Amino acid sequence: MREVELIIIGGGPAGITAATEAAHIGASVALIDENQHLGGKIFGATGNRIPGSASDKVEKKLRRQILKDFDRVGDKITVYLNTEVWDIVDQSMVLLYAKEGSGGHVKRIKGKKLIISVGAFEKAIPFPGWTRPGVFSVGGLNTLAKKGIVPGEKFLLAGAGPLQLVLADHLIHAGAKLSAIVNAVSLRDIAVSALQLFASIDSLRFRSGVEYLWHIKRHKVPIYSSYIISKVYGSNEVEKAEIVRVDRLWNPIRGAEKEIKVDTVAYGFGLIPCTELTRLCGCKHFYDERLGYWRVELNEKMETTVPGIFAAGDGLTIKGYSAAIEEGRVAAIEACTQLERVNRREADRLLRSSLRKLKRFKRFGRIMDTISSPRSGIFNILTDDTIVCRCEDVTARDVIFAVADGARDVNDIKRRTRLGMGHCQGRICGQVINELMWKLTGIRKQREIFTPSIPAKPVPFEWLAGE
Amino acid sequence: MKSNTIADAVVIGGGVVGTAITYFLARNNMEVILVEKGAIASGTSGRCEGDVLVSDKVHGFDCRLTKLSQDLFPEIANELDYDISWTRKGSLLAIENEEEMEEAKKLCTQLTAEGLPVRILDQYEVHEDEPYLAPDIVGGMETDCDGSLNPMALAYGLVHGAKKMGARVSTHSAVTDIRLDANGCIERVATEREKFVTNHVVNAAGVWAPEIGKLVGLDIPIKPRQGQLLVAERTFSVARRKVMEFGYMMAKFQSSGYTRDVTPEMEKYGIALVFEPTEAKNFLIGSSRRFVGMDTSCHIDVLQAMAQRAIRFFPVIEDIKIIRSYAGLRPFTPDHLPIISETEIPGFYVAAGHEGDGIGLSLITGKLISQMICEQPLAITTEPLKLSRFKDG
Repeated sequence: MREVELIIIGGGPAGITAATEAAHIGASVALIDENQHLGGKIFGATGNRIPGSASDKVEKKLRRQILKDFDRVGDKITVYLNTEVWDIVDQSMVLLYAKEGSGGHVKRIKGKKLIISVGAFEKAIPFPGWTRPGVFSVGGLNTLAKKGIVPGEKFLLAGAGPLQLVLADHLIHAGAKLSAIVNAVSLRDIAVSALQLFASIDSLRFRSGVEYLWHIKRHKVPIYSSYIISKVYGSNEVEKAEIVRVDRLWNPIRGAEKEIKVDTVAYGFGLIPCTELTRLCGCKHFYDERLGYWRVELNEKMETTVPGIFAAGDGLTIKGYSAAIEEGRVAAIEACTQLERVNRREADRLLRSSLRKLKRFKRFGRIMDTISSPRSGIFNILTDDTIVCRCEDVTARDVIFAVADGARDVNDIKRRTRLGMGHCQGRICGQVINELMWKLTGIRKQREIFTPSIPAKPVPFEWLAGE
Repeated sequence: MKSNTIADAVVIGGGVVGTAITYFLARNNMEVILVEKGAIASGTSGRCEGDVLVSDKVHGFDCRLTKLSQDLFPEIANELDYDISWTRKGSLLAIENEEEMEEAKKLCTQLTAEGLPVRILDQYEVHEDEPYLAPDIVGGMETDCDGSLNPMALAYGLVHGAKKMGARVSTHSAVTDIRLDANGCIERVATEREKFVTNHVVNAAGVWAPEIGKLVGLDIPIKPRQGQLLVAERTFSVARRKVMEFGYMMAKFQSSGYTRDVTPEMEKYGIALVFEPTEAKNFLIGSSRRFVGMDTSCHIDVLQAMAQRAIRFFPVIEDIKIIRSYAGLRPFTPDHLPIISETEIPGFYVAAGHEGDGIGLSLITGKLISQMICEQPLAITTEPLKLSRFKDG
């Protein structure tokens, strides 16, 4: 077993910055990431082949900068790549699984302090046909597009949120043909958030947004605002998509359907923070109704309700890489203060600029989440046959039966249908099951989440069995 | 508060035992009400495996009781309008060494004399039967009549069936009071929401049975004994049916002083291999035994020891992934036998304390309690199952 002063889980912008800062101060650091490269979802993509927008250029520059800073102190940091954290014992012992091909063999690391910066994953709402080949998540397709891979001929982008525009831009750059962009948000709401963005003087993002829209317009891609995708057809792969106009609450308007011939669909509603590890550690969480996801409770120095465990980055709220960098920095400085590597006064001085910047980023995140977070009406596109848990093939009908049979909470539905028992452990279906249950019972109860269980990520018997 | 409802019997506890009692009472044309403080199968029945086994019982009464229950399953599975995934593929006890083989042969003779379809497999046969067993396993004891099912579906199915026959089910309402009349007989049961006038109350609250007992001043010696389980991902068929280790039974039942070749942790946590293939094409790995109060969280050291033990018998699972773990609380009694009993309070019955056999014994428990309340001849003597047995010694 290894021992270090600070363990950082997740090597995205927040984790890299935290590691750099802590090593710079002089703490011994272990940095763990599940991918082959540091950088996370945003900075991790290698072989980026498309020129991209202004925002992309700034992103690239920033990426180079933080990796350069990291390399300067990198010899003081032990990096575990291709390695998953599947349990945290006694809030200090991190259990690892080095994936095949990583060559890793360390199974446990003990740390005095912990920073959890594991990022976010995409919010998916089931619709009829969403599990077919040819339907991608927005982020998944974006990763391919950035590398210049275009896995289809005619694309339809559906859902909500700014990532959609980014993906459209990347696809066009990569030479794809976009048949339509379908956005659930009304033009009015988009205009309002654009103004809010402008008012928050986030000029880079505002400029990028305009640039994306201009690019899309120049390529004459039809944009359907206030529309959602309601179905995909095809004998095996996707051949056609049906879209439908929605009202302000995203209720589909009957008779306002349209069909579009496409072979590839990208679908998503923004991101939600990964909270498995913070929940497993017993940190307090709460559901943020406006943002539409569970959040870990933090003080302004990024410490959770469990002393010595910090969190940073999009694993908290979705604010993007600039905020993640500052949060990583704050968490590292505070952790090092507790480790007595730096004194309080010096720490406060170091923290000042980051804390100021973070206030501004908060606003950006709120605007973005508010426009991408799904509204209740969208759940009306589910038919009885729609799969709601893809790991265990549980359909909406199965849930309807369970509720008719007396199920009144999500764990009861889980016991009756196996929903949430599969490989992803309820990550996807956990997002929709509350809404579906409220709709079926007509009672809007307190929101629930599946109880976290060991392992946080699937782990082979051999790695659990240990030494 | 609603006005009083009159019922022939009130059953407390919506696990497999309580739902089975409700089912059999309803089948006997009794007006029965099932009350449960949470959801159906939200306690131990939702946190266990689905075993219906005779192979791990002591020969004699324990074995006969279990066999009676087991033989009710095909009938009830057929009767219920609900898929409980009942299958009868038999079970296998894996034998690690010659010493265990000697004991297995003796046990096999005893069980055969009881009329059970039990057979010893030699080293060649056991690997023919389960090719992924570790090569050094010297043999096995096969029991053809053993079966398995989905325990939660069993509870839901029994509730469905009971409701159809007129039973009432009230979930999410805990019992707050049980009142006796001037003669000390059961008069009324109150829950958070309702009051029931009745002459019969069955305490089928499992690990919570002592709390219910207190309401009428009865001491019920049941303690929660925690067990943890690992759930593997969907994969190829590692074993076609239930596989357990013979050595643990020996260590548990025999006075011969046999000790297994296991780590101190395995000894401490009562680790014994249980391999259960599920309908969902994955498998469960158990088992462990600890007294930790009402705690249902899993502990890494216990899970680790279980994984080690499982790999010892099935080395092939090394690379298979675990996706989940969970823990349940077995209602443990000092002599490992359940309490299926009338009590000193007329009209108050206890049906709890089945430890790890609740699923397997659920149906016979339901039948026996219903026979007691309906004053019918009992399917088997319940003398060894009386609550009063704990008073005398």
